[in-house]
Amino acid sequence: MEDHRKTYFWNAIGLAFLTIIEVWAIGVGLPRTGLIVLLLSITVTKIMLVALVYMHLRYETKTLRRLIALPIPLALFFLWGVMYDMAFDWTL
Amino acid sequence: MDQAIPMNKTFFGTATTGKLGMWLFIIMDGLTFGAIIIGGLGFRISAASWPVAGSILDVQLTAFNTFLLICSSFTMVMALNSIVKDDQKGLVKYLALTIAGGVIFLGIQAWEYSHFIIGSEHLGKQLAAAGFFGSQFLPTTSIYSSVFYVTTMFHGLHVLSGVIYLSVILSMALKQKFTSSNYDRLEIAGLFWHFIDLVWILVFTIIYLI
Repeated sequence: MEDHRKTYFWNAIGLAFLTIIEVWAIGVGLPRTGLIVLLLSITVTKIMLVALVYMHLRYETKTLRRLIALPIPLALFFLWGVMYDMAFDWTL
Repeated sequence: MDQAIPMNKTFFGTATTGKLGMWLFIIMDGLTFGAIIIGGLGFRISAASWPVAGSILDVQLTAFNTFLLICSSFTMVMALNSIVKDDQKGLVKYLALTIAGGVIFLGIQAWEYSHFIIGSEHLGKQLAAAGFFGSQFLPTTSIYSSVFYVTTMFHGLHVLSGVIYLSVILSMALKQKFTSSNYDRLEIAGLFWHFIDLVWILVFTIIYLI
């Protein structure tokens, strides 16, 4: 394994900076939809930074990365299922 | 004809079976978190009203907690980096810092819960402004509080598990059980700790900011 100290350090700085932007964004009175899109984009970026750099996913094989990415569409499918259920007020 | 190729080398590179096992656990645990978060979102969408971000929950304090977990992820990965260079002192130092980060995170979360459960006049005013009755913010106060407690407590239990797990790893490190050619258990523990950080990033946004 190579020495990635600088990468780890700048990744932490990037994550902290993105957190500051998140906290700042909720206080500046952005339109609701814009705020949600911004916050979710920052969150996805932060998650990718942790997974790729700290969890070393960028150094893993494609097969492992695909295996790990598989639950994401499953979770989205579940989200769709919940939304569908809500139309019936949580009853069958 | 024997053309068997080690599965690790073919599909998963140099990942050990232990590491693959931890990844599978993370996938399963991630789906559990996903169900909790999506369930909470479902309740939120169907609720008549939902408090504005920061009206009850302390965003600044939790942002500090987020920063703390980011720092602990950094120290965790630095612990791994230390053992790769056979730096035993660095390993112990960074592992201890990671555990300290987790303990402080839990302490702040416990303080936050106690503040809500004990209640106060100021909290009562905040709750009234958000449309709730009483001066305490309990799991039974509303759907909002239930979603908050279930999500953050489930995550908090993961942090507690992580702290215990890393304490065991630290005790092994103190006995110098890891070397530059034998650090698989440390890497696996690190994966779990980073996963806790990763989930918190999502919980922080969904519960505290949006």
